[in-house]
Amino acid sequence: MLFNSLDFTIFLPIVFLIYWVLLKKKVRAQNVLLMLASYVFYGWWEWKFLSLIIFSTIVDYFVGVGLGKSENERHRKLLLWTSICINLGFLGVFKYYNFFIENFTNAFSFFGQPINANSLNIILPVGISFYTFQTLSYSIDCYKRKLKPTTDFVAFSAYVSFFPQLVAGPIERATNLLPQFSKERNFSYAQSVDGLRQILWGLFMKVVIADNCAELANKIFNNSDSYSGSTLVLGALFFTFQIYGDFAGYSNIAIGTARLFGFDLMKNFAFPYFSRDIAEFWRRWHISLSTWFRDYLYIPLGGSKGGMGMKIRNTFIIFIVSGFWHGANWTFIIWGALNAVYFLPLLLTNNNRNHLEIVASSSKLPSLKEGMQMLLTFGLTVIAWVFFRAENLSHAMHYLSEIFSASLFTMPSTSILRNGTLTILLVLLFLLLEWNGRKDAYAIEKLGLSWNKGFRLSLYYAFILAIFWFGGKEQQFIYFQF
Amino acid sequence: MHQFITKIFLFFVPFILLTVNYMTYKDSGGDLSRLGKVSFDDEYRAQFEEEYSLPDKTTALSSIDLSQAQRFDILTIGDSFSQYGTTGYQNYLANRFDLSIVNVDNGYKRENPIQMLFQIANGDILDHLKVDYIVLQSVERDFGLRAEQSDPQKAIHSKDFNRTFEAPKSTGGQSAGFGLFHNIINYTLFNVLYNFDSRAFFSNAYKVNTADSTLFSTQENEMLFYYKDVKHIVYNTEAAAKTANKMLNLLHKKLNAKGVELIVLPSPDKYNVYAEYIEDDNLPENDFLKTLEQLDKDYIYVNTEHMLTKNIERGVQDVYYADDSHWSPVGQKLVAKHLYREITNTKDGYLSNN
Repeated sequence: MLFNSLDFTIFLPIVFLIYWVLLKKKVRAQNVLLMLASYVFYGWWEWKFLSLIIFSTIVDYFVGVGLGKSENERHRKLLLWTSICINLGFLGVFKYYNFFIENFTNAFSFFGQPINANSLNIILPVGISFYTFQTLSYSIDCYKRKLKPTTDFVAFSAYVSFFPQLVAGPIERATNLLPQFSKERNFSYAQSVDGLRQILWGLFMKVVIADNCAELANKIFNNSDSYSGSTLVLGALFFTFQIYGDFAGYSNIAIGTARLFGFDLMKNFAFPYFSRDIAEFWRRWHISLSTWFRDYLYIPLGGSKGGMGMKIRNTFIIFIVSGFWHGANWTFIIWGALNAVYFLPLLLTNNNRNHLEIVASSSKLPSLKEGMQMLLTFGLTVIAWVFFRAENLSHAMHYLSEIFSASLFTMPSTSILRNGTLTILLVLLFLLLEWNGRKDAYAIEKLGLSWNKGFRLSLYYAFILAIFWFGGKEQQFIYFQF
Repeated sequence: MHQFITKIFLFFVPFILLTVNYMTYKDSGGDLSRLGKVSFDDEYRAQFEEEYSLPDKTTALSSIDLSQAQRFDILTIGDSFSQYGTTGYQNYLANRFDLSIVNVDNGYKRENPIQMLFQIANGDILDHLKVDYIVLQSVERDFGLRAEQSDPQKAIHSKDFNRTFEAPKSTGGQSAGFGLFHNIINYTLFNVLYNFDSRAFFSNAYKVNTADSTLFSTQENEMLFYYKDVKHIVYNTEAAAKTANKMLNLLHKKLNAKGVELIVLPSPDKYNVYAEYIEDDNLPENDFLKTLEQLDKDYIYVNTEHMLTKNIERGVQDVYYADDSHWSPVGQKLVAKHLYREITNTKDGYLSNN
């Protein structure tokens, strides 16, 4: 079920009303409802996918129970590795099997020893990369005794399958989300209204910004041979805003929806395109994933402790694995490696923790230096996004070589400019709103709150009309493919 | 909680009212009806139902093995005007005049049949697929741009044909019903705004008054046409007509070298064909096809604009669908007959199967 769909528009109020009206203050019943509603939400795509998530839930629940009861270190390690192997095993088979087979056979053919290995026709279950990481974090935190394992199967199932964040994050930590399932939730008018505002903003980001940028980005990337370097730059920019609008939009909808039910999810995006360096970018982009990798991979590998060699190794591992998490294609791996190359100089010179506050936190505009830093960082991420979007490495290299050619200094395609004028104006408006709200949880968190009621209502109607009116051709959320 | 639910309900009351209003909308299936949110009675399309049951005697190119030798009288290639299946001009030609016709159905969504035909002419497809005539159809509003943007050197070969014209990959494309809300708002909005502007300011369909209420069997003094019929006039200049003619002559030369005659079948814009009946004097004139018709040409040119306007003057109704920008079965039949006449009246005047 998509957030930007009629089905969800009907689904959400029904679940909401049952939750707060019929099951008011009945924590266990509310958890059962959330669990069942989440399975309906997830099974709407393909009910067969439910078997995987339910199996994963059962395995990790019993792993947790086992970890809670056992004091034998060997036994505890065995339980942890069971969880890791099963979760990553599913991920490996469904997401990476064909990639490895293809590269395996290509490598053998390269050396003159062709082998016959068949790829499988495997459908990637929606959200598998997200919920497997979420359940893994539970198992690992239980093993490390950061979290007391739960014996409430319903609460645990609801935590794993929680529909607002099930298919595209934020990847919640059990230490944050699971306890919320055990507490009584009281309806808060202010929290619900804020949740609705965040949903509205998320829909605007997704439907108005991302979907409109997607149409143009697709046109340019799919016909990149026919366009000049200057047009290809536009294509890269459109994709840059598409992926942000899409992914951060989804996160906003997820967080806002969770708030309607009295849950607080972690912030997943913190205005990353206003970053002054790559390190700051990675503290603001897909925060739940980057912190997951930091806590469960980077730090166990030694983190930033140790010599330069270890730092370089760990940095590359993290970024390449992060890239690989996004998809079974060399383009994602190169995207990750490129970000590692960007990040490394900052790490090695201890400049990776320079900008912890948002830019221009005590002024209206950035300084010239901050402006230049933001532009440079933005430019580097745009280049990296080309790999993320391209069909394959050859396409990405050709795309970039055309950008950095003489055709960069020609006029962009008039038909793209003509068709893209409205989108460009919408993106500029979007940037203005983002800049205005950069110190808040989301761009319009405080917008209009001090206005009189009539103007505030007009603002909401304007957003809704913009969503319906300027909504681009329907596009699936990009991150569903991960 | 009750306060929250009440306020949310009241907030959505305008949308509920719009939704109730939308239930009065009757979508007849026409593209202009859908774009302009103009209701048409179900009975309108029902009058053509008999035509839809005509046997389909054409062949789709996508169903053919291009590596095998085959022969057809005519190959047709075009945009949406050429994809009307049983009620298309090709099928009338095949049924009425017993001609063997193959239609390029693959990749018509790529939207430049002129480019595609250059690629076919330069490639090896016509080495096995033998045809006497190729009918190149293009809608008037895009004619100039398509000719201008075509690369006459590009080629396509039979082994790559289907793969090349597959739908390109995109990061999305799933319909999820959100367009319904768009339609709900547009229905009320356009029907109010059509009272103030013939394009309702934002609609992709013009709704204009006509001096004659008998142009369509709906017996209304109104007509719909696509907004690009007007918008693209700026591209269809005299220079564009000359460029198009030059490209078509070049195309004819390439095809002739392979023993094929080129027939160009323009689909005049609905706005253009009915222009003299429209009561709005502020709309510009469109002389593109008139200019093209007068230029020296080596290919066979079917003057559909002249033929269709004459038939409308004679009182033929529904040459174009009232609710659509395309020819109705009435128009398709007229085109088929006229096309056949042009083929048999050519200087060589033959079809090898006859």
